[in-house]
Amino acid sequence: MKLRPVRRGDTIAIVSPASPLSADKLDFVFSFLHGEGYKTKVFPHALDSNEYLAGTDAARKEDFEAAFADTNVSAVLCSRGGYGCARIVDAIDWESIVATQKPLLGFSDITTFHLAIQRHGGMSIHSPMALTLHFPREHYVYHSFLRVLNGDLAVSADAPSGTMVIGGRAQGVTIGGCMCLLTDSIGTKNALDAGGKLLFIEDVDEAPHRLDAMLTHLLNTGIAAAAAGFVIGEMTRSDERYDEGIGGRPWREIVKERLAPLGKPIVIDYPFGHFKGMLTVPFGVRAELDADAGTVTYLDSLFL
Amino acid sequence: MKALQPGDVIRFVAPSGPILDVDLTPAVTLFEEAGYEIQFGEHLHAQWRYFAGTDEQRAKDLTDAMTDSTVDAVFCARGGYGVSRILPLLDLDRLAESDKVFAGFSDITALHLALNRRGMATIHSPMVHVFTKNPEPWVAESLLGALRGQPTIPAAAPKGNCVVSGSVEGVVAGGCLTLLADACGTSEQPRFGGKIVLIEDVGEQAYRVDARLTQLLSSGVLQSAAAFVIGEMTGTNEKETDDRTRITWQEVVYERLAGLGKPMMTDFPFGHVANPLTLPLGIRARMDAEAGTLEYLDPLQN
Repeated sequence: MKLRPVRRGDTIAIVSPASPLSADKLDFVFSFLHGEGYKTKVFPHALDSNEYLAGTDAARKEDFEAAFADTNVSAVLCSRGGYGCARIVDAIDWESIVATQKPLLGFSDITTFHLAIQRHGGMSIHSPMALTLHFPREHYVYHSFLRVLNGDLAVSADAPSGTMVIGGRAQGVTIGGCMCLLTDSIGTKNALDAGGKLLFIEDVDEAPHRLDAMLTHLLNTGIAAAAAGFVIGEMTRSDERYDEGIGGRPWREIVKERLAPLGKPIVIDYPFGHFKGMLTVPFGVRAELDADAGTVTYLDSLFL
Repeated sequence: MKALQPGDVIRFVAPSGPILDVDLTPAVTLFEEAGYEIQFGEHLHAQWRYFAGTDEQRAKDLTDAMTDSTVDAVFCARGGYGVSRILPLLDLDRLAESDKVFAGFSDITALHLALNRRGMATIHSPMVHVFTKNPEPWVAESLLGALRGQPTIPAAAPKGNCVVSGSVEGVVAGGCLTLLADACGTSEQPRFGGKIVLIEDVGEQAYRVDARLTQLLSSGVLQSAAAFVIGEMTGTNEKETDDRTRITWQEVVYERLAGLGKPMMTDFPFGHVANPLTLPLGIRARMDAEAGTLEYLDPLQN
């Protein structure tokens, strides 16, 4: 189901369904969005803090559902990831959320919610969040965010291309996100379904052997083999997480060794993930991966 | 599972990480002094990347050990990572027909799940590393007792801490939390209905303990368990150094699992601790949370 357009002058809700952040981390996103003509509305529990969670499960769920239900809100931006979406995903009324046709924006732990939205027939936007934008990013990160929010899915020409691992072209609906959340979903009712889709994968701070274990989880369940193609972002700081007890390898070699035998088109180092060069990626939109060129081209629109 | 007799053969295999600089001598000496003969799997000392040999070599060594009629016990020398990669290469139905002792823990949890679900009893045991660190005498006593078919808990071992009181009987299952979660959605997804579920892990941050328990909950794996015997989340509390998040793993486990209302204890001595008990899986036991005890009801021999 396509989303309703978000226009300048519209209000973007800010919620924290995962881990907490301090108020100052919202300063940049306020100036950025306000400067582009958007209004913002920070929901009541967005700055709550309860250990590694941004408030109680009930408070986070309440804010998240209220933001979508709010008739003055046109889009819902998550302040940050961390951890916490999996604790409330089963309790959220996804049918009602998808029916609002409002874009959810976020990534990392928010991957759990992107999967739930697609499971319920919806579309969403894998994007930087308030905390992401608090830190300086490549210029195309801001352009990409604003263009996708405006419904323009042409990928910024100044963003780097991915690197081919297995050549070829594949078409499919886009899905994916942070790998540990993709594998954490397996076995649950909102599990990743990559059948016939372009599967985007990135992660941060994972030990090399854990990347191997998670890719193996995707392989042993048949999820990876069902995908049409793979768009691998960055496994940020994985090479630095070499485990002395277990050992390790460069993450790019692990990804190639596990996924290349599937024979599907694969690009690696596509600009998305937990680093300064992440593109905003619409999920649930039909697209074509040209692995030789390292590019993804969207074949359909995100908005009505 | 056939209990070991003096003169029986124990074969060391390494289905996960490489042995490299791990000293096998203390474990070998322990078994030899107990009257067993030790064999090494063909590729025990192999290394390929962060594995003890290629996937094919590790799968072959395990299959050879489990199907060789001269072998009475298959002892996994270490964990690390690698079992999930060889599961598709194994004829698990055939391996589970074995009446041999199969022992190990940590990454070996993935094999315990596969063998236990096919009706084979196995042993959650310390591996060679533990015996290089001069463990308490009851650690060897517990391991050797289990191998002999007498899985009694030595009186000197610490008791668990009661979290949810109650006493219950059931078949023992479980192991390392990361591997339990990694099995979700696979053909080896844990089946814990009516079971006394062992859970432990090492080196995980508190929120990842939360995430894995949450995955098991959302997958419906834990709700029908009879009881929870939590070992230690070794090294987890030491990772919580941020002033804002000083939550302990005990608090995380309590918050996630206590609501299920099943008898539960924590800090029961097994897993990645310096002094672990040996705990057979697939065998009936009685867990008494208030007493902090797990008592096996049946002998191993069948």
